[in-house]
Amino acid sequence: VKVTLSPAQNHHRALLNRAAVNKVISMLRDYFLWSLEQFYLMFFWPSKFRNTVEGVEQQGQRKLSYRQRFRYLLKLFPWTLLFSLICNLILGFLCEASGVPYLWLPSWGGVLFGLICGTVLGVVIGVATGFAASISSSGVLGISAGVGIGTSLNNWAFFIIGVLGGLGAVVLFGLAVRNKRFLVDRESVVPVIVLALTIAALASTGLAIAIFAPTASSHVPVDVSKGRAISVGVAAVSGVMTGLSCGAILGLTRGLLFGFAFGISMSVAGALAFGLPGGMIYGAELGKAVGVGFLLGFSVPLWLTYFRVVMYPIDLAFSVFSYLKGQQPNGALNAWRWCPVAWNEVIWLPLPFVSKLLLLCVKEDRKRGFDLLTFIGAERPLQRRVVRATLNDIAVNSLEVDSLPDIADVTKRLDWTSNSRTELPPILMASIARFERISRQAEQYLSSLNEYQKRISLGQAIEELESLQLSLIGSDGDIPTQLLLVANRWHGVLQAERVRLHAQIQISDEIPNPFVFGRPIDQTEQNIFMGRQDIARLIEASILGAAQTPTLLLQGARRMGKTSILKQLPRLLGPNFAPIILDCQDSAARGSVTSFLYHLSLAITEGVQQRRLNIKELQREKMDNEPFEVFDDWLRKLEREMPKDMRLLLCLDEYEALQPQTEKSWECDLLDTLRHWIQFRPRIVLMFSGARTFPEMGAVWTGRFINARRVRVSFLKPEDVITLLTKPIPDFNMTYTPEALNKLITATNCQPFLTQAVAFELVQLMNDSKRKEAGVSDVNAAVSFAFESADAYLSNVWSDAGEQGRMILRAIANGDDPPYIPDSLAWLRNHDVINQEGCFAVPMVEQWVREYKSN
Amino acid sequence: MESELKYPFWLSGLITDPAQVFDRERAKARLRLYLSKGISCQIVGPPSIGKSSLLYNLQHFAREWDPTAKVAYLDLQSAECWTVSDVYTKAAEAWGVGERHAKEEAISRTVKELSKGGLRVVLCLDEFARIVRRPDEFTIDFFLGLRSLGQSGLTIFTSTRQVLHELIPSYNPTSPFFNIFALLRIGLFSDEDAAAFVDAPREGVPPYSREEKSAILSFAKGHPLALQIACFNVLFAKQNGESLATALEMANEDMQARLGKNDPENIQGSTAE
Repeated sequence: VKVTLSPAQNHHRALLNRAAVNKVISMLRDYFLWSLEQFYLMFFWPSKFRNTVEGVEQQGQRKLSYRQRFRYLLKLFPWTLLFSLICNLILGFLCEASGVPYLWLPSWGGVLFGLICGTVLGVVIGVATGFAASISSSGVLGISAGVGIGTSLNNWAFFIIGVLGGLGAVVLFGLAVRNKRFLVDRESVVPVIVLALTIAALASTGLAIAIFAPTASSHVPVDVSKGRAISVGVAAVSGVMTGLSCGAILGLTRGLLFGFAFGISMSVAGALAFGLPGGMIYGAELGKAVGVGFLLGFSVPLWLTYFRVVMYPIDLAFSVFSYLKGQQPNGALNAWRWCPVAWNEVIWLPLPFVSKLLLLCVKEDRKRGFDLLTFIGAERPLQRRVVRATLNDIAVNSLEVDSLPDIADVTKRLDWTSNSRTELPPILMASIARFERISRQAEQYLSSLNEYQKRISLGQAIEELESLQLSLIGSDGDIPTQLLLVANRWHGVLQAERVRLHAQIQISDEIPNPFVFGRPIDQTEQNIFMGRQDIARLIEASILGAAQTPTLLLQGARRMGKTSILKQLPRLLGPNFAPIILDCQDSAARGSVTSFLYHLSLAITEGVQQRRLNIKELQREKMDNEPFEVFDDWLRKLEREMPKDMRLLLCLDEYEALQPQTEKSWECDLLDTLRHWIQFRPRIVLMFSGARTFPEMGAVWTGRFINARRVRVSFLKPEDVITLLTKPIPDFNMTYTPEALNKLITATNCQPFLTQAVAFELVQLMNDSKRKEAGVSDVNAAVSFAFESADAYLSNVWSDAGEQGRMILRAIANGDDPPYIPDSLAWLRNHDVINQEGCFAVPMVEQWVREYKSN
Repeated sequence: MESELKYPFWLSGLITDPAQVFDRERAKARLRLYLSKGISCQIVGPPSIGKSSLLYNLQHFAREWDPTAKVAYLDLQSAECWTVSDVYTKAAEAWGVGERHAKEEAISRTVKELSKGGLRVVLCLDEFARIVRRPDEFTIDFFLGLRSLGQSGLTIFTSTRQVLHELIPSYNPTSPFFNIFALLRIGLFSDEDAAAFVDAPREGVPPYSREEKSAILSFAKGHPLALQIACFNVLFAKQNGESLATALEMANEDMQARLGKNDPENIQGSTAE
């Protein structure tokens, strides 16, 4: 019965049909897009495929169960089938075109078997492996069946060879895909060796089957003379390809030289294993079958698929294109999406221009550029060398400057290098640290308002830079050359600034203030360290002129400049002395004898380095059990390495801090050891520095160092102080009336700390009042200001004097007769508080006592 | 937020906004000079005079004055600074070095390395007297170690009511901790500075009348905290319809509660810790 539908019903049905068609089209489109995404991830981004599709959950559970894997593979099956069919058709026609007989029916059987094997592998091992294995195994089995059977006239033995050979290839392929992350790991060579051994084992198995299986059949055409050459040639190519494959893997993971050597050796071994015996024994057809089977079934797919060699020309073209596009203004980040590294994880071979494009990206937008580097570091393990190369370029590029603010900005630009886990070349890292120091000095220069401070910062920056230039001149390679060019540019900028600053200082109203008090004067501040050559000469003569090396005691009142003298010793003494300074107040050094000796070793290492002797510092952990013995051995080695005229001058500053609390304290052992050195180590000279004499410290000291020679540090000489006050630095532009200069010298009596403190206050006063010539009233005002700023020193003199000493001082200050207390008077004389005549040694101290302590 | 805008005064004592540190130009200039030369300094003054505010904001000022400065500010009242190890750990954190650099054995090397790297390493120790009260933890060795650091690259700033030599016990025979410090005393605002403080324009605050200003200045006598409290109370009273006398009474009670003194001027003389 024919049912006639109304137009409305027809219309409705048409709509339904159209909707159904649309739904199907939509489903097909979704399926197609899904498939494309899966293929993209599998082929170009396997690690992401592993993370998102299969892979392992946190608890060690696989993401997909066997059933889910089977479903997934079934979903992909249409594509798997299509690719396998195309693959077999291409291979079959290629064989026929090259004159190799190809039986199509058995080959389809091989394809079918391969698909089944691949699916099974996929369910067991993983879906990506399954997909790849299905296509490759169907191809391998197809060609094995087609060629093997075709060439040996239905000899089932050869079919079996093909099957096993194909299976071997599939298993290898699966292993390779599965273990790829191990191959990328530079440290893990074991999986690679296992893979190589597996190849060799399978090849041997295949060969064994090839040897024994045909003997059971009478259909094997044996033609040794004709086949030998062909089979050797074909199988040798196969072996070479296999060997090179393994070599390439190793080359990329363990270094090119190792990979090259391994590849060559494997090539030879493979050629021998695959080709020679087969060719020699069985002749042309069999040899050709086995050789071609393996060649086409294993080596070529391995290169084309695992190494993605087939994609390399395309990657190359895209890389060039993206770089050219990135050179357009602000086009680098936009061009990055065209770069193959952005979308292809599996690029084994180096790509040109990628690091240059990345550098352009960083220049365009620093943050986004570094994001890209982070992305490559995390997601493109095969391209980490690109990250390294780019970071080198960025580091050198960050040093490019045109002006002083640029130099000051470099520290910020190089911030990332301190946290970078990527290993930059050592020469680059060492130079960056020095460039950073120069940059900080430039920052300091720019922020300083004081011209004197500016001059110091700039001078230090130039000094450091010139030293860096010298170190780079002697280094080979591209990076030192690039760095030297950068350093030369920096030098130009800094020198130009120095000229400008000098001109500015000439016309400036401000008086630079170089004076400093409260901390020791460093060796770099030699201009404001005046005099004391007599002390240096005395030290030198005491050591060189004595038959036996003496022990020295640099003794003087507090704040008399003892530590400053020690810091200047490397300059004051000749090159044959290596002064070593250890502050005995440093709590790190005073924790235990081990700590003391360890820190002494650090100080010695640093001290001898100033004399260009590089030795390794002592390891702390080695000293835990027998610190004295270990230190002694180390010292002996050091003495052997020292030039024969060199002596170590061990200066123990604030030596009083080593005063033993009891007879059993570790300090007693230490003092005994020091005494031993004096007696038996003539190249080590010991110099203690402190405010007290050994008799004041007690028998612990006098008993051990009775022969110590005292080098007294007292007031500076007036002529040195005049130079210090009038020309402490070349640009100093303050003058004094003769009375003012005389007043300052008289008030302080050339006591170093007070001289510096009053001069410091005087310069500030003159700058505040915008005058350049100081008079007596200015000096008086500066003295008053110094009473506050130098209060700690004056109070220390007062408290150290003790109750009786204070009575004496108060009486002298008030113009009364001081009480006669011999010990206190002697102490006050000894510590330069009063002079031999019984008056205050420093009038300024007298004034302070009168003004602040008279009641 | 609204109330903050209505009453822009720092009543808690510690001013944490560097822009609000009023006056103290001489003190700042001194500190800048000492910082540039690496001279350690003790800031000494009576309670609530602004020592802590100055020291706290030195973190900000120092970075402005010298970009290479790495400043660690430690409030030694805090329970986080009750042991030597805590002090060094907090300092190391602020200097941006790892915890292993904070150990007592490593700290001097850390300071030397930072200094060699071109950095100015600064340690601000607020309420320094607090650690003197824990002699079992902060022994003479600690002070000697700190002095040694001060001689090898560390610039130390402390804030105390008393000068350091009165605070730290004598420990002959070696050099005392305090004799490396320059002294900077800070005291009351001058009359001009106090007047300028009252007159300073503040967003959302109507200017004080001549009578109010005179009352505030007369009450505060140049004491910075008293000025803040008086300004706040006068403004509050004005906005709530109360009299000037009530405002000053409130201010007096507040000051008394904080300092135990009726007269802010007396505070200057108080040096007892």
